[in-house]
Amino acid sequence: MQVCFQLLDYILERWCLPTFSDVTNAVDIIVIQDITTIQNFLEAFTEAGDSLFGCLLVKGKVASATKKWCSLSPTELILLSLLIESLPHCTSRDLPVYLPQMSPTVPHRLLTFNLINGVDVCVICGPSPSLSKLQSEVSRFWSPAIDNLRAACDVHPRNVPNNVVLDQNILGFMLINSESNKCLCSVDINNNLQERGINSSRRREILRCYYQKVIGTYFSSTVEGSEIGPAEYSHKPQETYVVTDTYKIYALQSASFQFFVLYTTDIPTYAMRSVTQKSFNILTKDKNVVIYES
Amino acid sequence: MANNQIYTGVFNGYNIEIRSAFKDPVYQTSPWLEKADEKGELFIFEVEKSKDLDFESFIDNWGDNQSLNSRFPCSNSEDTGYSSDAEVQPSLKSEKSPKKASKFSQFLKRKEVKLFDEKNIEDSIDTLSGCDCVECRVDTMTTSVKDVLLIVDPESKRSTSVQRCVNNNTSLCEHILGIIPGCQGQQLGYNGVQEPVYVKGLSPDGPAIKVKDIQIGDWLKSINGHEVTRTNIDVLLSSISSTSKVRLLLQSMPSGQHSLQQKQGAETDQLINVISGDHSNHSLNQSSFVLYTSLENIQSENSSDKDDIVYQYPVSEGLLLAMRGMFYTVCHTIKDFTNTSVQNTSVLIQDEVYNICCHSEGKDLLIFAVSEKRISKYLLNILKEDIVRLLQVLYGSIESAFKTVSNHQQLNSIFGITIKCGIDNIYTDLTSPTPASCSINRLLTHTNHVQYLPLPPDVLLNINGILSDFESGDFVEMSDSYYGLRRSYTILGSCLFYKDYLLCNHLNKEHLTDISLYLQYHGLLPLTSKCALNQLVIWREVYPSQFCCDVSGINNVFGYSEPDARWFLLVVGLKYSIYAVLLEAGGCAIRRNRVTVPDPFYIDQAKATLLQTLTSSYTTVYEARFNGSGLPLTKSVDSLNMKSHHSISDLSSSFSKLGQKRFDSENELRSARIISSPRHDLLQRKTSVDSDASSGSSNDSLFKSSRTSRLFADLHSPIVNTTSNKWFEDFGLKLSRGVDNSLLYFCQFDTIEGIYISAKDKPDIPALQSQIISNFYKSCFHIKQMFQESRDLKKLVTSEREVLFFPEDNLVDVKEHGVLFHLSSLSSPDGKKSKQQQLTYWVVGRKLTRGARREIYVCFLDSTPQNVIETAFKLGFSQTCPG
Repeated sequence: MQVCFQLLDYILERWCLPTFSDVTNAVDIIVIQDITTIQNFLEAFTEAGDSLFGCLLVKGKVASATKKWCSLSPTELILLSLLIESLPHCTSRDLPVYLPQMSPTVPHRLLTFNLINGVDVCVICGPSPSLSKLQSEVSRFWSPAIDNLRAACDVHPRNVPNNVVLDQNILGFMLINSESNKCLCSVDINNNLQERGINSSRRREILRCYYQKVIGTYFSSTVEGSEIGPAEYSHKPQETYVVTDTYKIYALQSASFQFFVLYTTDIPTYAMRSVTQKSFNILTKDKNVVIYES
Repeated sequence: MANNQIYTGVFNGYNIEIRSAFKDPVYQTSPWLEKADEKGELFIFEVEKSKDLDFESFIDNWGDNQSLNSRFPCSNSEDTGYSSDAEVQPSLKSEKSPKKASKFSQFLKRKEVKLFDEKNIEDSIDTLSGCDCVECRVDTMTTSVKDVLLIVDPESKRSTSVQRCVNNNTSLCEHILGIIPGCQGQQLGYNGVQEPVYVKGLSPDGPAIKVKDIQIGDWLKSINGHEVTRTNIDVLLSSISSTSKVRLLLQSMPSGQHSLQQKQGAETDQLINVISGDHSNHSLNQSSFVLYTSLENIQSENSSDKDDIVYQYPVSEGLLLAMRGMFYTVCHTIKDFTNTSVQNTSVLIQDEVYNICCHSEGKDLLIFAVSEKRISKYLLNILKEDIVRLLQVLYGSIESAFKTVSNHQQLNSIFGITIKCGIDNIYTDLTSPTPASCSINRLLTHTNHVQYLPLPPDVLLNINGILSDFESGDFVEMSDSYYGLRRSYTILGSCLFYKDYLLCNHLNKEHLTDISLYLQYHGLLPLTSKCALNQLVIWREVYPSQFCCDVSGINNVFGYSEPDARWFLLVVGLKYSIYAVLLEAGGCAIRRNRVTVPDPFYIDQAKATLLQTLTSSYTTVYEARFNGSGLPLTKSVDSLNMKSHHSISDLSSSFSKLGQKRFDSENELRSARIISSPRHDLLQRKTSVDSDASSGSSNDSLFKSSRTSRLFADLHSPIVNTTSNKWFEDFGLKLSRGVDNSLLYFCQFDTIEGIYISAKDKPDIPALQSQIISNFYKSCFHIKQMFQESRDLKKLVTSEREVLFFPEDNLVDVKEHGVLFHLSSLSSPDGKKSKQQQLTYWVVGRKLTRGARREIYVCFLDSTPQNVIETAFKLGFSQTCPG
């Protein structure tokens, strides 16, 4: 029970949450390079734990997960990520968890191991193996991947690899896939903009706020009830934007994706649309972002 | 003005005989006084009511039943006007402004006339006289033959005015029927008939003016079955010697002005019922409650269960009533420790979400509870604020409104209308797939802005002049110097409405909002947009919010303070127009301490002023504007459907070609929207505008308000008509040069003036366009909400007071907000090719703070080039410079 307090506090203090999953109802992910290599390491490690549920978290964001883990409900995914992030830092832990949809009555064990600073691997398993047994396996499985993990850790806080280049005026974005219930968000996309204008927490705030405004009025999300507002329109709202004194923000939806982009005021209003489309294509079509298409 | 001089000359001719008659104070026996209630308030409301069985009998016995006339449950009584003043000669008291006085004199010669619209009688068991009427037959051609039955009483009329009639060569026709006959060269040979008589004008006191089917320009074909010509009309009419029914057969000129009148349907009837105080069927409505509770007089020991309820509407038992203690606690405790007031709460009762909105004053609490299905939380808040303001305007304070038991019936009416018209309409708007576009407007009428109809400058100038003449109060009895007395009221300002649109306003925003709230929440403005009023006179004391609610702001201005005065609202209405005047007693006018009765003089003057603005040349312009001409054109998207999109380069090249030429000569904004090659729909519209103009000029006679001015009608009307014609031509030219239009719809709010302007709804909107418009309004509403919230937030941030809770959202300083709508499959209507087209269009709202504080909402096609869009936002029409 005490474990929950931390989580509750964490969720309640939402304005300092570095992630967006609480509003989007989609788990935050991070896009890293060499995703296939990491995926292989993860699957091997999960098997060693006699489990199908395994996941690699970088700063609380899912970098890689087994198929089974991805099949968990969005709420479960979000809660697990938040739970691990909310707990005090430690090298390994063993927690009993009730999964709201998978097993509301029977507790499972959630084992987490800290690989390097900021990178955790978690496995959900049954009564065996014990924490200590799996702990001894960690170094065997993960030491060859240490360079990949370091690289993955460097992606934070940008959340997308450096080779994905977006427009210079973009302060931050949210890309939500309502089918796979994942969201990719970044508020530090361009380092050159770090100094001037709005700081990252404010950017996060704006994106969150705008998301909440748009969902339920123009777009709908997976959250129940959000479809009532958009249903009032006889034609489907596709894109929307807001211009304020200090920033501009643009949102579009296309198929199962919703894309919110925060711009500086330097970008002309009429250019926002095409830049947004372009960025959207980079993020969704690019091979680097392969995880997104799962 | 030139017109004035003309009138002066004529009036001088017979001024002498009349002046002596002035001693007799006609006003003291004025029917207005009889009808006012003990508080000196007056509410007379007449409308042609169709399909009401009780109508005739209602009229028949109104005289015995004085209460019907008293006020709020106002009767549809036939006003007998000045019948009692038959012997009193109307008077011209000053040669200074005979124009006004002559208007005034017209009102003194009322006679007992009853009239019936044929529609009433058609399906009614006629209790009065068994006079059957034939329904309006509309021919297949554009003209229509109308059969109208008038009941006239030439006897009483003669006694008052037969002498003058002789003096002034006025025809019998005007006296008996109230129709000013005309016979002009251009009418000769119309339908091959020699010397036909047509309706050149209507005298304001005659029976004909009250029948909506008799219109200026109509051709009077026969009276009682006898064919009418110029020569035999007097003979025919002189045979009518006693009170009798006269059957008139009229044929209307081809004109576009009839379309609106056909719409009058069950909805209007309902509205009339509500305004008339018949709200029996509302109590069935269980999803809205209004409750006022007070704990002031409650002793804890011997209070019974419901002592605290001062007022409730509708009177019913229910869970919400039982729960009132909860709201009371919530509102007061939260106020105690957070120092903020509760905006609203929601309760789930039997699976239905009720939004509850509270207004607390002292220890009292006003609760509105409406089901979420009927009105959104946001709108409910606006509604609450509107009503609170209205009550403050009407009664001075919320407390006095509810604690005076005699007010309750009036309150019932207000809430009845609100629930019926306000909430229900919003409700239907949001659910029905293709709502009537005129009712979508109601979403916006809840935004403290009055819809404004920009008139062409020359017409606006004239109307401004007419209103100013009245407001200056510098004539006859109103002038200080005439009696050496202080004037009885100072006119603070006035405003003129036509079919729910503001035409002209001489009041500041606060006053205007007060007045429009009053008219709106009594259902009068919506009513005028649907059917013509026979008569409307309202007189009541008001407490304008600018003076009464927040005096500190005004009186802090050094060296000036608003006078300690009382204010009165005078509203007169006729046909589709409503004219509201705000009067001040005290200050530089006579101070009044007791109950103030309506001042017939002011009422009559106001009516005269209203009549002046209703001359046919003006109404033609109103109608034309009303139908959307002169405003920046909007384009129906359905026509676009037929043809494929143009490439953007094509559009912009033609734009730049056309644009340059026009930018210097014409208003920017019109050209801004013209971006492509000539299009058939615009040409069509051009012809419709032209036909409007021609119909306007064909009935070039003035609406008759003064007998003598008829002599100069021919002089007067060409002036107005040529200007308006010229104006139409200008407009037509612009269109024919043009081209495609990518503006679909627009709307502009002016926060300083408190008005808004939007594209006009055409009577027959294609389905797709109406969908777009409905989407436009809905998203406008959200955009506006966002602007408002960001403004509120800014106020909160900049205010010195420490705020306990910040609102959730953080979008400060929102300047622009746009939504792109997407219509994926669009098959062409002819069905030949089922090519799939994509239609995308933007709805963009932009807030301007520099210069004028405005909000502009535009709906345009996605393919529009950016420079065009930017110009569209420069849509710079305001009240004084219409687009």
